[in-house]
Formats: sequence, structure tokens, C-alpha cells
Amino acid sequence: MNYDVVVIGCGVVGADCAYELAKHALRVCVLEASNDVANGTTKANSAIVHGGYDPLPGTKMARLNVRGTAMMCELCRKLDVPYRNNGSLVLSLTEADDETLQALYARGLANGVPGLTLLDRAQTLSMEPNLSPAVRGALFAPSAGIVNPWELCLALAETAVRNGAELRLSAPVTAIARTAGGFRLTTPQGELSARFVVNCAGVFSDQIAAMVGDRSFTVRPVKGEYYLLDKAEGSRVDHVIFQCPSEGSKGVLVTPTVHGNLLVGPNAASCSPEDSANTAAGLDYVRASAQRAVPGIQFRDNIRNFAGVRANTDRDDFILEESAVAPGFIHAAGIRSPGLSAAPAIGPEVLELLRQAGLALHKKEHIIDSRKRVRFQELSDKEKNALVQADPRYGRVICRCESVTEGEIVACLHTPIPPVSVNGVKRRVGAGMGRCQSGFCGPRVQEIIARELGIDPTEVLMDWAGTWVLCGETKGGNAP
Amino acid sequence: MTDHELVVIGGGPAGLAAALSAWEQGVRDILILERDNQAGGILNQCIHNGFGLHCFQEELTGPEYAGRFIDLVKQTGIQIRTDTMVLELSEDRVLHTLSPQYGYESIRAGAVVLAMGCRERTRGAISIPGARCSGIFTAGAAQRFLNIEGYMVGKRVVILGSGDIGLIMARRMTLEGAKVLACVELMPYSGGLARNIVQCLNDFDIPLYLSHTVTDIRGKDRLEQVVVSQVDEKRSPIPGTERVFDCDTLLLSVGLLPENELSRQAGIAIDPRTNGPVVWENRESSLPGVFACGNVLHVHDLVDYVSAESETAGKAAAAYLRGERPAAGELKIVNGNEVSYTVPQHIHRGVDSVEIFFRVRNVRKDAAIRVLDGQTQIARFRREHLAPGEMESIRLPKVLLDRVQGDALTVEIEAVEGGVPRSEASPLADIPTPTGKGGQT
Amino acid sequence: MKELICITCPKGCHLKVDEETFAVTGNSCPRGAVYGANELRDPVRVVTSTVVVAPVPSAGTNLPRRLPVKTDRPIPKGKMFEVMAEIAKLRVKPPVKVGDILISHVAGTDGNVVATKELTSDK
Repeated sequence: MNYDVVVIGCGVVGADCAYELAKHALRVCVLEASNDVANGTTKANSAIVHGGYDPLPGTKMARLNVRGTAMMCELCRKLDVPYRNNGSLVLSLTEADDETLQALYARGLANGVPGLTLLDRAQTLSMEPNLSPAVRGALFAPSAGIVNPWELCLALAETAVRNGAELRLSAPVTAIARTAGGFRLTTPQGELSARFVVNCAGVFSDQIAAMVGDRSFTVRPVKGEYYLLDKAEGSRVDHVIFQCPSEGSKGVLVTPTVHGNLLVGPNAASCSPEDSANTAAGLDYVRASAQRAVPGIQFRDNIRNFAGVRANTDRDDFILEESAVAPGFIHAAGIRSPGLSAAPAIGPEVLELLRQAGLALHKKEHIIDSRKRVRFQELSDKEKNALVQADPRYGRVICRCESVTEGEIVACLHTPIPPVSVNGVKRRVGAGMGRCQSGFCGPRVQEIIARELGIDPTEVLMDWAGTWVLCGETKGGNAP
Repeated sequence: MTDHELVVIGGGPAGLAAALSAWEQGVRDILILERDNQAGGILNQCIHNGFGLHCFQEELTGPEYAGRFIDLVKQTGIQIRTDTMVLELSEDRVLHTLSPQYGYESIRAGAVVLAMGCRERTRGAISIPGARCSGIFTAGAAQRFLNIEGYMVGKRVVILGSGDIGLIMARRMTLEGAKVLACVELMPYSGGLARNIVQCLNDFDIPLYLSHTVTDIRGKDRLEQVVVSQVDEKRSPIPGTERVFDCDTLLLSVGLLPENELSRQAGIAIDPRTNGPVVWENRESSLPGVFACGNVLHVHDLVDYVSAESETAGKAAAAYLRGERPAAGELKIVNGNEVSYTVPQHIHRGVDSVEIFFRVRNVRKDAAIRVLDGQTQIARFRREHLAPGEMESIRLPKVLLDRVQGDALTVEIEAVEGGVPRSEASPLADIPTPTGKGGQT
Repeated sequence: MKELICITCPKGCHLKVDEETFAVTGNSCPRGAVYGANELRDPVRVVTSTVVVAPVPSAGTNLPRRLPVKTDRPIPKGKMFEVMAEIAKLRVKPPVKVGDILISHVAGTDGNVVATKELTSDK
């Protein structure tokens, strides 16, 4: 198969590149190693849209953060992605923090962050009454917000697919050869060739670069651990609450999520690329650190811990460039925090790099640039009734904690990028995300996936390849 | 909007018994709303025996116990609506429901009985560190896969928590061909019945590790190993005591929580110790006309007690519908020494004899329960054996209640000389940890 | 001497039973003595399990995949796995009523395997 552009990796960065590329008359293919999109750094992070006062002025991080954040609202509206522009506060808790806030404020102004304001103690506490009484003031960034990262990635990838891009899941790239016309890529699903390649492989982007002989950077993965608390704690704070960064740490944040939960984390510890394990020490640190800012958090309402791996590198900035040793090979690598915020601006940036590398870009006349899915819970009573009458499966609640109906689960299994796992369904429609953590709905979701995809329930995975749930039927089974 | 005299939320053992009792009291318009596709609740998956010794004087399995109540309900005019989820309960007793058959429907109820049961505490609730691999199940989820769907969740199993669901699953998994390597319990005593320790663990030579917990979970994709460590008297893991089990499955039987999202939403007062509504002796909540019974109120050990409590709630709902109101005047029940909660939390003055249910904090032999009016002991009950895993009860006769001077009664366990070692709370557990079992016998 | 925990009540007395005379010590009531002696002489258990519901040829029926069953009386403890093996071979079709005998004298015991739930095709 011959393509104009092959994108390696379908996290939020790869998906945005595909989304932008698919608007043009190009043969585009996205190769994803995992069995679903958004299955790396994109699925486990702080889900924050940063203001952009943190990166140093003049960096790509600063420029793309501010631009991406400005683009986020409209992108999420078009593609039906949960997003809330709730603003962020960086707290000062010590005298030294006061100076840090001043520095961040100055940096934010230099980066062009809109609306930055320094607040005094009273203003801060009136906005967030549950903060520590030790709070001295805060830096308010009204442009910051929260977003559902995996739905953003999914929406971008789905739209790309609907606009003609091809997506191959479970297709890790194992070798890349240079050819006269570009590159030949090897995957377990066969070989394909491409005139241009975009490396969006996240924590594996240095390994992908090395396949074309480019060893100009090294990924140094950093793990962050989190608590996700019940919705009962979801209104403990309204804004994204940061603490001042200190040596080695950006500080643990406390934030509501777009689903109404409370998210607390992360710490930072170097790790191997696929290490998503929680540690007792890491979780203790996160808990203690968060309580400095928001002392009243009820950790007994925790419903899940997780850990995410960020693709930090040996460079201080995002790596967005054409490879020096392999012309036509574009890196979108080392996209760590604020990568999610910058993502909407990274796709256009990569397109510009491709254009400079010789790719002709012709806009298609007709493209799809919208997406809509049924969120049953958010419908009016009248709409709910109409939907149940049309399809009674919308009347059957499968996930009782998050009130997700069978209709929504079935619908997501028939989208352009259908899930193949219980967590794939969870990421798409929220079933199993609640306080019982799929204790009740897990078996039923498993059954629905098997039924709709025409596979045996024992083949339905929890998440990525190898995460089997059932090992077989009792008593030899009841197959005819 | 449709109207019904009595709406019961939940068609498990509590809801069925409450509805039946209200019917016997003359209520003729009763609607049970059940979210599953059949009535019976969690009993449908509890296929083991041991239910009904108190209620029916014989040993029944869960489905048989539920079946008896369902058969009784079928002989009445009580309606059961399955596949129906209550999304919202308002203060004025309007229920917003969803079902494939009736769509989104609002129902106004003259009285409501809350009987939604409980859910299991998860890995997240106790923050077990380690890998995020597959193969970690709550015991109840594994039980549903095994007993209802007919699937095995794994072949080599470690069980955390010695509550009865975990013990029952140890036997079920073993009989179906799995190897259960260990049952691990944080506390120095088991939360399960001695009968289940003997028949579910000892019968199959499954070791029980008391004062141990899971300190790490390993596995890239599917679970490969769990690390178990001994804990000290503060329940902190002791370094150097790690033991590694090669296994593909970890079952969690680490407690149950009453499911009160609807109650909270309706503004009903919740007791942080039971995680259930604060109720009067007739099981009426802080919202007039709304009653609660079964595991939504507090986690029970025996389904027979659920049925008995639900009868009380059903009867009270019928009285409420007849327009009867208890006399004003409140007597609070206070948790004294070594008592972690009581149900009811308060009683009306002038009522007939009242049975107080409660849990204790420590295992005790030859102990005494005292009831105090202020500083004065007004009753004392001897018990040969007390344990946190076993619900206790005392009955206070009317003559005694009528003599009470103060506005509160304290229920406590008589202190012993030298004191009983009090287990200190873990950082996350400023909550009672009734190793409740919810109708699992 | 064999040590046992008595299960006749929640007290859980630690019993010591003589393997030859079946004399029991450590019990605090007569029921404990009976339990201790029986546990050594002739331990018995009720086995509960599920049987496979045979697949139905006609579509549209909403049959469960498994039907719960039990032995209608305790059977010798040593025969539990034999009983399970016989239950595993069984396939049932509706209609089945609670208490219907599905296997009589299972594994040569005097116990029968009976249904503990109704199985009907009209659901």
C-alpha cells in the first residue's frame, strides 16, 4: 500500500495530525501499536488545558500551548468533546511562592496568555473557599480549562477516518527502510510505503526515530500517579488548583474533571515507557501534597488510582522538526505537558513542516468537520422519551453509577473506530467509570460487546492486548 | 406523571419483604421498581445454601430464598416492574424512572421504601498499589460471571478479605477447578462466619493469612503475581515479610457500602458510620414518608435479618399511608464504648419495645452490653461472644423506655480491666469497616 | 487428637476430638460435642453448583445460561468432586421447577441433585 503520509501513533498528537491531514487531498494512514486510540499518555494525564504561563518564552511549548488553548473551545464544540473553561489558580502558600507567582505572571505576559491576574488572599478564598487557610494569593489564568483527553483524541481520529484517512490498530511499526520515494514501514499487518512519515509515537518516539538512523534525542519517561475521586468530592474545588512549582516538581494539582469527579495528582518519577503501576510511596506523596492546598479532600471517596507516563526527553522543548538525517521524516516527539493543551495547534504545525519538506497541500472541497453522539443523561425528558420509543435499548440503564444506557453502548460499537475492550467502551461512553468501577456493569458490557461484534465473550479484553478477563466457560460450556 | 400509593425501590430481599408486609397491612397499590431483568437481587447469584434458618427454619440457597418471596408476591396484586432504573428521587416523593417499556416516566408516590442494597468496595476504595493489569475483580463481580453467566475469571486465585463473599467464592472457584492459593485478611480475625472458614477454606486446605494484606500487584497485561505482606497492629505492612504468589486472579472481598446516591440526592440525612439513612425505629428516614431497609440502610450479615427489618419498614409505610403519625418526642441512641454504629439512630418517645441493632469494634468473649440513661445504667445484657463481623441486637421493653429521664440512651460494651486493644484507624479508614456480607448468609 | 472449630454457632469453640473414641473436649455446649464427633466420623456437606442450560434451537427466547442446583441433603465430604463431575455432564432444558430432581443418587450417594430455581422458556 502506498500513502502520501503515514502517521505513527494515535494519541492526541497523532490524531490531530491525521485530522488536519485528512482535510487535504492526500492518502493518509495512521498506525497505532495498541488495539485502541488514545491508549498511551493520552489516556492517563491531568486532563488539563493549561493557560500557558509555565513554559519559557520563545519555546515551541509556550507558543503552541497558548495557541492550542485558544483553539480548544471551538474544536471541542465542533467535535462534541466535553470541555469546560473553568480557569486555573496557581496558589502561593509561602513567601517564596509569592516570588514564583510574580515570575510566572511575567512569563505568562511574555507568552501572550490572555487575562492573567494576580489575586490577593481574600479574592482567592472567595473564588475557592475550600483552599488551605495558609493561602496567600494566586495567579488566575481564565483561559485554562479541563477536557476529556481520550474523547478529544477519539473525536479527532474519527473525523479523520470519516474524511478518508485510514487507521490501523494493533499495528506497531517494527522497521522502517528508506526508499527512493520515501519510506517502507513494516508492521505485523504487512508492509506499507509512504512519501512522508510523522513520528507521533509518544514514549516510543526515540525508538521510531532510531529506525531511520536518527538518534538526536532520547525519551526519558516520567511517571505521574493520580487519585480519581467520587462525584461526591467533585465540587470540592471549581477551578484547576496548582501549587507553585518547586525544584523537581510542578506540584500536585487538584481539579474537577469534565465528568464531575475530582482528580488529584501527579507526582513525578522516572520509569520505563510502559510502567503504569501505582506505588504506595507515590500515592502517599500525592495525598499529602494535595492536602497542603486543599486540606478537606475526602480520600475515602477515592474510586480509582492510575498512573500516566509522560514522554519527557533530553531536550527542553517539544521536538517538532524534520529529521536531520531522514528528509521527509517529521518528528512530533517529546510532547509532554502541556502537550494536551497544545495538541490542537500541533497538527497545523506539523502540516507546515510537511509543506516545507515538499508535500503539496490541496484542501478538499468537502470535508466533515463535526461530530455528535447521544449523551442520554444530558437529554431533556421529552428527548429521552422519543429516543426510547425509537430504540428501547436507550431505556435500559447498564451502568448504574454513570447512568449509561445500552443504546449508547451499542451505538459506540458501531462508530468508525469501534472499541474492542471493556475499557474502550468506558472511554467512549463512560460505562464503568463510576464508583463501582464496573463491578455491576462489567459482565453486562462484556456480553454486549461480544454480541455486537460477533465474538465470544472470552475474547473480550479489559483493555490492551493480553488483558483477558475470562478464561473459559464452566462445565464445558453450552455451545450447541 | 402516574400515581402510586407505595413505591418500593429495589426488588431484592428487602424490597420484596417490605412490599409484602405493606400488602398484608392493607395497602393495595404497590409498585416495586427493579433495575435488573428479574426480581431477587443479589440472591440470584448467591447459589450457596445457608439462607433462611431464621425465617423459614430450613437451609435454603439464595435463589430458593428469593423464590419463596417472589412466589408470595405473585399471589398478591403487587406489581414488579423490572429493567427499571430510578434516576432521581425528589423531596416530594416524585421518582424519575427509565425503562425500555415505559421510557422516561415520573411517578408520584404516597410513600417510598428505599431498598437499593449495597455495592462492593473496589481496589480504588482501598488504593491497592501496583500494576493496572486485568485479573482483579470484586468477589461479587466474579460471582456473577461464574454463577449467572457460567464463565471462569481465572485459574490461580488469591482472595483479599475474609468476608463471607470472598470465602464463598474460594469454595466455588475450587469446585469449578481453579486453584485458590490463599485468603488474605488485614485484621487479626476473620470477617466471615466460622462455618464458612471451615467449609470454604479448611475443607480445601486453603490457607488464611490473618494480619496480612496485598502490597503489590504485578503483571504487564494480565495479573501475574501478587505480593502479600504481614501488617503490624497499626495495619501498616512490615517490610521483609513479603510473600509472592504466582496467580492470574485477585478477588477483592473488602467490604460493602450501602448505595445511597438517590437518598443523598433527595436530601435524606445519611449516617456517616453506616453510610445509610438516619432512621427512626420504624425505619422512616429524615424525609417523611420515605423509609429504608436492608443493605441500603446498613450492611447485614444475614438475609433473614434483612427480611425482618423490611417487614418493619413495610408496616410503617402502610401506617404512614393510613395517615398515622408517631408521637412527637425524640430519644437519641448514642454509640458508646466499642460500639461503631446503631440502627435505629433515634426512636420516638412512647413507642412499644424497640430492638436496637449495632456493631462492635472488637472481638470479645464473655462481654456485657450496657444501656445508659445519662450516667445511669438502665439495662445490661450478657454475651458470650461479640465480633465486628456479627451484627448484635438488644431489645428494650416499653416499661424501660418509659422510665428514661434524659433525651439520649447510650449503648456501650462494658469496659474490661486493662482495656481491649483498640485497632487504630488507617489513614483512609476513618469509617467503620463492617466486613459486612450482605445476605451472603 | 484432631483440632476443629465448631460451627454450630458464631462462638466458634476450638474443639479437640479423639480420633478413636470421638470424645470431644473444648466444647461449651452439647451441640458442639455432636458436631465434633460427626465431623470426624462422617463429615458431610451440601454441594451447590450450576448446570448448563442446553442451547435452545429457536431464537428469541431469553433463557439464562446456567441453572443453580444443590444436593437435596448433605453428601459425604470426600465425594464433593465426584458430585461436581456428574453435575458438569448434565444439560437441562425448560421447563424445570424448583426441587425437580435432575440427578438421583448422585455419585452413588443417597443425595439427589435438585434445581434451586425455576427454568421456563416464556420469560
